[in-house]
Amino acid sequence: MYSIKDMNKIIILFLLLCSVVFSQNNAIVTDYKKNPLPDVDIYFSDIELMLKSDKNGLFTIPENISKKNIIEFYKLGYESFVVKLEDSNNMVFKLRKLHVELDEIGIQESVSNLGNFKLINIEKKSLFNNFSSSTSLVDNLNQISGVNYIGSGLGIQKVVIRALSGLRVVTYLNGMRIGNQEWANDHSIGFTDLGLGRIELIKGSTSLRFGGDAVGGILYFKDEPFVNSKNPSGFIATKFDNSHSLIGNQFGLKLSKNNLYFNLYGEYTIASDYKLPNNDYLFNSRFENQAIKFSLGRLGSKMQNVFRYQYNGDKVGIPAHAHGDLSSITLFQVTSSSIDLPDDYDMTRPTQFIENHLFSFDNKYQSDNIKYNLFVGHFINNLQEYEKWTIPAFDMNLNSSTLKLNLDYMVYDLGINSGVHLNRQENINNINGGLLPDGLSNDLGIYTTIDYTKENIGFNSGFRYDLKNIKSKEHNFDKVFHSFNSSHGFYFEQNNHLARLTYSSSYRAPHLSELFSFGLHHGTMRFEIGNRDLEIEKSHQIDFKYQWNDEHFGVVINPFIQFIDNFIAIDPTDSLYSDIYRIYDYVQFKSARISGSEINLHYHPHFFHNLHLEQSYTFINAYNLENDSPLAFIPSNKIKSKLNIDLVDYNFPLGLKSFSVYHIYSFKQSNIAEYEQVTESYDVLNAELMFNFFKKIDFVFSVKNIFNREYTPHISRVREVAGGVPEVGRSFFVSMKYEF
Amino acid sequence: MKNNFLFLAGISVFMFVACEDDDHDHDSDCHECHIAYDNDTVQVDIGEFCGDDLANVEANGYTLTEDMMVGDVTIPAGLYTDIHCEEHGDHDH
Repeated sequence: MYSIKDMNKIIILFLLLCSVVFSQNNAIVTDYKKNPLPDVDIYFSDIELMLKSDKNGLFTIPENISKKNIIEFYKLGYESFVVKLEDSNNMVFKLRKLHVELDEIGIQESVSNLGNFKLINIEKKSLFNNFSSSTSLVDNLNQISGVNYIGSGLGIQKVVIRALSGLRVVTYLNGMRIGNQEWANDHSIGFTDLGLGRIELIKGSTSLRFGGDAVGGILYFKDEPFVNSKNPSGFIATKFDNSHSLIGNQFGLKLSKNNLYFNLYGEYTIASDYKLPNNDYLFNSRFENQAIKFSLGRLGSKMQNVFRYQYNGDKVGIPAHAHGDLSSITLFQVTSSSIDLPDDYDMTRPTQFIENHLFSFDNKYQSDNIKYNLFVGHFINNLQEYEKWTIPAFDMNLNSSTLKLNLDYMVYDLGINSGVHLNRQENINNINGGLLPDGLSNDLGIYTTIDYTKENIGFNSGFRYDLKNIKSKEHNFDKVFHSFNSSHGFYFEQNNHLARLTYSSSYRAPHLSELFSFGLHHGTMRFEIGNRDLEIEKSHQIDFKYQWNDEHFGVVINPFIQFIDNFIAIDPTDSLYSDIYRIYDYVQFKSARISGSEINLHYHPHFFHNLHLEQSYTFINAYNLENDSPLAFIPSNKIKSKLNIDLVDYNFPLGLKSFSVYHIYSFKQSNIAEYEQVTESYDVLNAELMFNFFKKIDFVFSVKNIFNREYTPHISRVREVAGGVPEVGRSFFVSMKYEF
Repeated sequence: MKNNFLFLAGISVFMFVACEDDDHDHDSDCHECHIAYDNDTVQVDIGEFCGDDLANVEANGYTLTEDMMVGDVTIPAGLYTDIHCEEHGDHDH
C-alpha cells in the first residue's frame, strides 16, 4: 500500500508530467528519495535571475531563458550543483543531502564570476542576511580563514587577505573596481552590505580576468539577483548593536514584469562611540551611513542589459586622535567615561566625509557557442578629512572609469575566455597642499585563459599583459609600467579526494601615495614620505589545495607560498616629525616571502545531525628576504571555530531556529618588524540565537565578546596609541527582518 | 501589498529626510579653542569661537596681545597659527 506521503509525491510528479505536456517550462526539485524540496534557490547565473521552488518543489522556467543558460541549485544542507539547461533531459532536478559543508567552499559545485571554480581557489560566502546577522560586512568576512581586518571599531574596517591589504587587495562591486582611496589604513571598503547577495574571494594573485594590481587578492561583491515573481517582494530590517549604540535600518524591494526587472534598496545607520571592556568609550569612533541603490534589468533570452546606480555616503570619526608623543598618550586622553545620546551621534573632529556614486551598465549576449559581455562603469569618490572644524586637511575627488569586453567561447572541449580591460583613474585635489598630488593613470590589460575539464581532471592556463601609465604634472612625472603575467592550474578528483595545484603571477605598479606622499596623514597619525623611484612589484605564488570529505567529516588543507619581488613597504624610521609623529618612508625591498597554510575542518556527528562544527587554522609568515626580518603589520595566527545547532525540528517556543557559538583564538604575534611591539594572545567568544517569530519575521539576538576580553589585534589601526586601544568589550546585538 | 508599499515609503522618508543636518555647516556651532604651544605640550585657552570667528581663527590663527603664564611657562605675545578647537575625548573624566 502507498502511504499518504507517497501518494503526495506521485500526485506532484503526475501534475508535473501533465504540465510538461502543455509547457516545457515547468520543473521540480527533489531529493534522491524523490521528496519535493521547497525553497531551493534556483539561480540562472548568466542573466543573474533567481527563482525559488514552491512548497511542492515546483518552479517555472521563464520563457526568456535560453537553453544555453547555466542553472545553479542551492539549498542549505544539500549539495549544490550546476547544470546547463540544454543538458537536462527532463525537468526533474535532484539534490543530494549533504551533511558536511565546508563553508560553501570547493566541495560544492557553483558558478563564479572570477573564473572556473574547479581550477581556481575561489571561496564564496553568502551575504543575503548579512545586515541582520552580522555587526558589519567586514566582520562577517573576518570569519573566513586567512581573512582579517585593520580597524578601530565598526566605523573603520579594512579587509586583509593573508598578510596583504590596501592597494594589494582589489575590490569589485558588480564588475566595477571600487577606488575608495584604499591607500590608507583609515579608508574603509566604501560600501555596506546593502543589497549584496554574495562575495567571491581569491586569496593571493590568481585571477587573470580581474587581476591587475591584485597581488594580495580579490574581493568580488555581487548584488542579490533579480527575482521573477508576479507580486513585488522585499524586506524591511532593523538592528541595534549596543557596542556603538548603533541603530541601522534597511529596506529592499524587487519588482518584475515581462522581461523587465527592478531592485531598489536603502539604508540609514548611525553609531556613537564604542564601549571598551573597562566601560569607557573610545572618543570619536562614531559613524553614520546613508545608502541607496537600484538596478534595472531587461533580461531577454539572448541579450541582457542591466543598469545599476549606487550612492553611499559615510561620515566616519577618526578615533584615538591626539597631539603629543603617541607612545606616551594614555587611554584616559582618548576616551570618555560616558556618552550622551543623541548628542554623541553628532560628528565631531577629526572626521572623514565620503561620498561615492557608482554607475554601471552591463550588456551580455549569448548565442550557441559564444558569450559576449560589455561592461562600462564610472565611479565618483570624494573624500574629505577634517581635523579643524571649518578647513579640510584633505579634500580629493577620485574618478574611475572602466570599460571591459569579455568573450567566452568553446573550441572543441576547451573553454576559452578572452578580454580587454581599460581603466582610467584621476585624482583631483580640491584644496592646495594635499598629501597626494593631482594625478592620472590609464591601464590597459588584455588576457586569455583556457580551461579544460573532463570527468575527474582538468587544467587551466592563462596569460595577461598590462600596461599602466601614471602622470603627475605637479611632479613632472610621466612613466609607463608594464608587466606580463600568467596562471596555470591543475586539478584531480577521485573518490571524494580533490587536489588542486596552481601557479600564478601578478604585478602592481606603485600608487601616487607611494610615489609622492609628503606630509602628515592625520588619519594614520604618520608623516609619510613617498619615493618617486619605485618600480613595479611582481608576485609569484604557488597554492596547493587538498580536500576530502565523507558523510560526517571534511577537511581542507591549503598551503601556499608567495614571493613578491621589489616589495613596496611603508617603513617606520627612528625619526619624529615635530617631535610627535613617527616618520614613515616608502621603500622597496628586493624580495619578500609570504608563506603559510590554512586548514578547514568540518565535523558533523552521526548521532546528532543537527550539530555542525567548523574550525579553521591560519598560519602566516611574512619576511623581508633582504635582511631576513619579519614584515610589519602581519596578522597573528588564528584558530576560528563555529558551532551551530539547527533547532528547527524541535519546535521550541518563539520559533527558536538555531543556536551558534563563534570563537576566535589569536596566537601571540612575536614575528615583528623593527619598532613594532609584540602582541599577546587573546580569545573572543560570541553566541547567537535565531528565531522565526512569525512566518515572515526573523529575529536575531547575539552577545559579542562574552567574557569581556581586553585585546588589541596586532594589525589594529590604533595599535600604537596608548600601547594599543582595546577592541569592543562585551556587547549585545538584536535585529529583526520582515520579508514579504 | 498596498500596506507594504506605504510602509516602505514611510521608512524611506524617515531614513533619508530625518537626518538632513549638514556636518560641514558650522555657522551656528561654537567650540572652545586653544593655542597648541610647543607642539601642544602647553595648551593656552583662548575662549569660545562661533561661525565666521571660528573659521577665521582656524584659518589665520590668534594673536596674543600680551605675555601669558600657563603654569610655570610664559607664553610670549605674538601670532599663533597652531590653533586646536577639536575635542580629544578626555572632556568628561
